[in-house]
Amino acid sequence: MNSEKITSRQLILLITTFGLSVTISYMFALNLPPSNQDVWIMILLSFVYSLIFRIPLLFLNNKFPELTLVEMLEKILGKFAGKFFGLFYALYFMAYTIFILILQTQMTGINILASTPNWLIIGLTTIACLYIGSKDLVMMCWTGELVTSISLFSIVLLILLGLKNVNFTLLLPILSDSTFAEINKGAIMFSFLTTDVFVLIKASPFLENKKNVYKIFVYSSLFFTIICAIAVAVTQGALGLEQARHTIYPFLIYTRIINFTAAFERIDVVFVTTWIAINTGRVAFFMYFGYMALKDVFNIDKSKVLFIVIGILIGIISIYIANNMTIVVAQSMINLALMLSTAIFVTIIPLIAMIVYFFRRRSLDTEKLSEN
Amino acid sequence: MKELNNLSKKTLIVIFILAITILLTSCTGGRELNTLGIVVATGLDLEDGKVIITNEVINPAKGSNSENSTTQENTLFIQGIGDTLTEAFVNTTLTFDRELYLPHSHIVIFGEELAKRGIGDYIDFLSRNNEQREQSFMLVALGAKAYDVMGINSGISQSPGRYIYEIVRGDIYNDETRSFTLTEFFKYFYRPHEGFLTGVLKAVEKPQINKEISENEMTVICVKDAAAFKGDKLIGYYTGEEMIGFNFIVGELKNAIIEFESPDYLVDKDRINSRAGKLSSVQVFRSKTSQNLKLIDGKLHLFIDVKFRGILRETTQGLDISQPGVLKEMENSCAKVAKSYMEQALEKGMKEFESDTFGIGQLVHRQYPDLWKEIEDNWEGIFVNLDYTVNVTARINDTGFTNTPPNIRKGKQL
Repeated sequence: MNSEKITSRQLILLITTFGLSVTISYMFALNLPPSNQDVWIMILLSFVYSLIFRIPLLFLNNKFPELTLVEMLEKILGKFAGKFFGLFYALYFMAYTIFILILQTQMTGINILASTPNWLIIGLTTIACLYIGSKDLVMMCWTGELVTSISLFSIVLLILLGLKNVNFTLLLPILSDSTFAEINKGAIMFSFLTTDVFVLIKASPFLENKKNVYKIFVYSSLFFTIICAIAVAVTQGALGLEQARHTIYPFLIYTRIINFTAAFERIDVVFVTTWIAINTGRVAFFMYFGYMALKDVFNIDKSKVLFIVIGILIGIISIYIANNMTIVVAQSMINLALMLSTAIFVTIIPLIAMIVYFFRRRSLDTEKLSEN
Repeated sequence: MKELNNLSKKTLIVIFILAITILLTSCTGGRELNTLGIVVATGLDLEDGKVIITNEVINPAKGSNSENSTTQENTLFIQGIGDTLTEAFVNTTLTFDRELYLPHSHIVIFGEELAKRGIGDYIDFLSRNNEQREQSFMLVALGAKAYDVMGINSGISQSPGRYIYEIVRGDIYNDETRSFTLTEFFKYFYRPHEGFLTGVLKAVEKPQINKEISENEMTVICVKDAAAFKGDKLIGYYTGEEMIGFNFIVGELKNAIIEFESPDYLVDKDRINSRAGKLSSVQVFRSKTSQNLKLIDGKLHLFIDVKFRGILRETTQGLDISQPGVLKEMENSCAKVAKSYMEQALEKGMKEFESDTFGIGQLVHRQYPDLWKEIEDNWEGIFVNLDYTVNVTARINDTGFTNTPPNIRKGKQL
């Protein structure tokens, strides 16, 4: 095995677990249409939409495997437009990092560190992320493999241990209270709530087998969708449809009611620590992506100072927001903003770039040939 | 130069690790054990429009090994009063020298008055508070204030709260009651158009057997029966027998004793030694319920089929079960009693409480989703007039060590 390359397995694990970390934390799927017992079907259907909406990004990545996202945009859309969109990508990555950092602070504060100030939680997470991000992407993926495999195992184990509390009849009747349009609407919205295709895009130049990009995405999306659907279904079955929607962190409550013999009681801390481990990795990755995008926009060489500055900036903004606002993440406005931003950065901008690529295909191919 | 750089890097890392080790010995704001008042049970009452919270707190000075300490001294009872539950909870610190700590609280008791006026306004604290255990049992003090049933310990547990907890948890041994945890409570509470149940507690006076104690009577806690709620208000109680019927209907019967009289013609009068006994007891150890709805002439009809297996624990009637057909007749008699329990529960739910505490609405929803959309807003009105048929099949799988009870002479050899 080449330790300077990233393997397909590593990326599948990372994308699957990263996706789960955000979807099972506050389970926004429960509030998406049809928001009833058919939510798990909606999640399964989202697999199809997830593939469709990520085709432009994956296609462009496949066409220009050696280029970064910003370089690719510059090449297709021209220098100015490329840099313009690149700057927005950098801001998007940083804003997303702030969002998941605050989410982590809230969940940590609510369950295990109730009296710990936000600055300390965010400060320590930022320092950890700066350290992780200071290693290159290959190292991050290798470390991530270890953390995510343990985390994924823990999540599956927690699901199994809580099955005793699950009443599956609550998931009946199937497809009677939902319309086809509702399920599709929910599936489309849900497919826009995960952003982890960027891990694949950024890591693809370092892949052991670059031809596996599509395969990796299909497998990771499939695993993520199935595990997420199961997690949502068991949570609804254990808490009831309404209680699950009334709770900010439904899966956390699911783990808090696990009582599988005296040995497995109050093991919600396993979930919280697992989740923190995954989310810290996720924060580090997106912080790194923000730095990479900004570096490409301003043509700066590899700069640790820039990365540290970005990290500190993200940390300070996160502390400010966490101290001054209570983000109820199930709130539709937050979800709406998340979905819109993902739609723009994962689908719309790459789609525009793909259309332009088809128009400029000949000149771009000639350019590529002459470069070679 | 490079080596020097590496050395300074390593030194920095060592300093960083040492600093972290010294600074981060524990979470900031962490609470030490000796500053906490560990709550084992909570009671909620209403008096003059104010909420009274009564917390049973472990008294660390009187450990289980302390000499001369009684189980009553192992805990203290701390009360707080306020307009809201949070205010009442926090106000306990005005008179008590510890901050109350809830993660070990296994019991939440509502006083009957509060339960009758509606618990909806007082349960948000329980679901919102991250210290409150989701596995705590929710109970109603039958005919009493919550604090009236707290502080009684007639068991061998170290504290009254633990004593209640162990009895409530023991519903797996006796289905004349039913215990609901906080999560289960909310699961049913949120169900639209349906009622729900909680367990009950009542203080019962019993003669004092221990002659070394001067009092003639002792108080024990009994958890028989269950409280029925409609909306968020207590509307009445199911009796112990009705609870066996209820648990049969909802398919969650774990362990129950059914007592029944067998027909007189089974008794071999010539060989009987004693005619005082009339009853037999069967312990149900396994049951299966299937609920089904049918539309008959445009009207919903509920069919409940219950099959259960049991062990013959006792017969006082003088029945020779080794005779052919006797056991079969006993099974039929047992099934009839079980059926009557179920009918009693259904009748009470329909006619007296007018509240679907059985989850029949969910069944309509599952079986007739389109019809449910039409009738769900009027479900209570339909439920009270619902036609039903209960079929029970009993099997006595085990008769113990005795084939003929002692009150009958064994007949001649075959």
